[in-house]
Amino acid sequence: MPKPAIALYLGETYASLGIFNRASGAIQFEKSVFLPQVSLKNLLSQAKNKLQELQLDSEGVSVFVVTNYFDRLKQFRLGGSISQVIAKGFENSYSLKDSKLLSLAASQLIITIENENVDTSFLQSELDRVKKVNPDLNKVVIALPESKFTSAQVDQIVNFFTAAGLKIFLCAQPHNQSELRKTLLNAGSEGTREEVSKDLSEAFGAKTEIFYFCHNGFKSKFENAELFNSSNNFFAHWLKKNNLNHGAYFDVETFKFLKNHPAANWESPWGTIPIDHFDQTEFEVHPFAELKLDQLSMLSFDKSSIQLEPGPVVAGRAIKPLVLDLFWQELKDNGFCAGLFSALAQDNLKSKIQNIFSVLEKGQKSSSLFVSGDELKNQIRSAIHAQVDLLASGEAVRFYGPLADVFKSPRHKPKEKSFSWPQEIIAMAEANGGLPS
Amino acid sequence: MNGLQLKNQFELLTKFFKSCSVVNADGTLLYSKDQGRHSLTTTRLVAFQIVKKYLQPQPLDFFVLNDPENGGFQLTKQIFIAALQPNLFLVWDEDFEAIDFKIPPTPLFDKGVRNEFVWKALVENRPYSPALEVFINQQKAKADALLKMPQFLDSVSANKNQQDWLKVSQEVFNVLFNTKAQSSGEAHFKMAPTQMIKLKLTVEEKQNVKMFVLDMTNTNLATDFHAASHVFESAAVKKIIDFYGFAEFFNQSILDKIKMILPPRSIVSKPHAEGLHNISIQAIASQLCEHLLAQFNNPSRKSHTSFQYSNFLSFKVQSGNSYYNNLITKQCATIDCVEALANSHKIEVKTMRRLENRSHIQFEVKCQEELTLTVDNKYDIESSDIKLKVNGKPQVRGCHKLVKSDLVEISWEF
Repeated sequence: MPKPAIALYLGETYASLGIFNRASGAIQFEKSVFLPQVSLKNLLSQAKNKLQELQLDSEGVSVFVVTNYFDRLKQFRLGGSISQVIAKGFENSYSLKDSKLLSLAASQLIITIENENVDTSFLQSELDRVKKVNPDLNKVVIALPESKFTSAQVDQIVNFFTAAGLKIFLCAQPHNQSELRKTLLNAGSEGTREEVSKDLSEAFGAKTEIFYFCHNGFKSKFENAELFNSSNNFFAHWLKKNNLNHGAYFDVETFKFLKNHPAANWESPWGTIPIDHFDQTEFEVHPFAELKLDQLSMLSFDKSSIQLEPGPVVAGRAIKPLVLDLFWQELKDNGFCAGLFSALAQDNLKSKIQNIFSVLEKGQKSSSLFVSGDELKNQIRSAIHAQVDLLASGEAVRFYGPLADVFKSPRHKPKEKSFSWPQEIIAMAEANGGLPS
Repeated sequence: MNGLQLKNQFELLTKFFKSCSVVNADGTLLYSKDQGRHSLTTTRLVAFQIVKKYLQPQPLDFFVLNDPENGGFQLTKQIFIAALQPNLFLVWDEDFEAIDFKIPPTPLFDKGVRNEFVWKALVENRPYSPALEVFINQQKAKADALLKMPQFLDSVSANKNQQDWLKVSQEVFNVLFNTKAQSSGEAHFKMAPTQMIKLKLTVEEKQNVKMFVLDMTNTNLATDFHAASHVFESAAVKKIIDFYGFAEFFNQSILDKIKMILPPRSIVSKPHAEGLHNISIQAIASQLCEHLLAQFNNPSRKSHTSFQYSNFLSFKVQSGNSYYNNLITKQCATIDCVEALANSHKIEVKTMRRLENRSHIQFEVKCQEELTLTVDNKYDIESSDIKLKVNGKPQVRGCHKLVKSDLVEISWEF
């Protein structure tokens, strides 16, 4: 009997999971959770129980993951537990191109090295020094150019740090700062990748095969940097599969426009990183942007304040209204959101949302700048449609994602049947060479 | 339409332009933004007025100019004007570094049809013709994308919507003006004993009229260091707009409240043939305004300090048809040239380090072809924390040819 497959979409704030029974050729269990309220572990444990209930063998199950989870890292400096071994005179060289970008490594954890002092005692004293700065240090990026160091010297250094129990990230082109950034990002996001993979292995056993969607399809071996564009790449492949040049994607945590054009360099928050991917354009409004009265007492959304946690009021706990909350009535009627935000069905939450908007509306002083919650909602929708028109040069665009029907217009329509991440993932995995036997 | 809808319209119209202005047929500024290194709001208005006066733009016409003595900024900065509708024009600027000749106001497309005579003269038979053709076509495509949304353009160009938008901005101006202090003060920057830029800034409300007055009367006459008045004005206006938070509502209603008094043929009111000093003079304008506005709004009014110019270095490196712009200020640094040239093996990086606040780059030229290093602004070599040396010799403003084995050193401190 073929083993079941698990499809997992892991967003920044929500996860959707489905169990695909290959014998019946159908998804037999599907569930989405809002991560600030229900952990991924909890969702995986529910899936494991369901496998038993359905009498499906969970041993050696294949898990197909599409993720946007790594976008969480985009606002942070990384590399707090990473040491860098680099040639003297090249300390923080990757960061000189643009001082406004985020850092990928801690300066105090740098080990500078000259080819004459590659010996174990020097390396040990340096390792002791950086360990004093951060006792949790467990990874090392080694970027030593061939022009300055022999391969024997590099091997010696790699062996030393391997023996010391550090995970090694070797930069293949140390003279190339973009490559160095990529290696540092691989190291900086290793913890997050390990955390996800560990949760999956713990839930379904050590033999679990995990495939992440990277640039060209699902892969079990990849660089962590590839995971940053996993969902965009998936979306681009979906467009390709449907012979579309562009599309717009809407879910509870992102509204974006994507063209089916590959790009070789990713302009990341940490600088240029050479990685094949598909670029996206986020619409001006972020669903988790906070709604507030600005300095003109006008109801508007704050582009700089993205509240991933505790999330929107519709999720049940938050008190700060977000852009997503403007659409609470539409979300209530949306099958995906009704499941994700179960509190939406409660009357007291409805009153709470109405009260919040009533207070905001009454706080506006100027009549010419007054905007009601409903007007703001309609304007956001119209602004998105206008941006889509502009980005697609007037062509009709297919809307995609769990909230596609909330933003549809007569010109821009979603696909006919309702969107399901697990179903899309399984369909892509099958089209992408089929599921492993 | 309410204020938010009107604002959204202009944001959408200008979404794909970093630095642009929207004007109507009367030349009234409807919206403007400057997100690049330089400020050109007033420059773009001057460019539009010249085109309007001499070339009578019709819908779908498309113009270009760069002449610093005729509505332009500098030779490398191309100003485009697209007539979107009879009552709606978009003016924007983009850099094309290879152009080193003056382009007077020139119609590239007449009612959407390429002017072959002009195209041949301007674009063809140049070493960089293919790149220039791509560049101009890209600019035209940006305007064409907007032309595909006729209903949207109808709405933006509707007289009533434009009048409502100007009224909304007037209201916003009145609110935000009152959030800052009213005062008057002077500051100056002296380059030489007879070369001084002196600004008296007054922020006041008189007879219910709220105004900013920038009086440059005591600025010296121009000798060799000077720029057009719109160059100084654009930078000063930008600083005021940003300081008060007017940017999202910036249009003629607000621009009319900023009055400039400029003596004729002074350092800040005499165009330079190539716009060579524009970057330096904009930095001075911006810093003088920022200093005075900060003084006016300093809670401890007694601790007035004299103006201290904050030095910066702007330079570019040319390799063949590629240009790399670099900027080092006290707050930030963007060095585009080093990674690109090292990856193409044109230079060998000897040192590239940032430790604590000190950054240091040293590289050796490795290629046979000549590289050109151009320092764009007049920066203080002696007392500055920013150093640029070639073979140990500090570099001043101007062009410097780099040949194989030359050693270039750049260092700075935050």
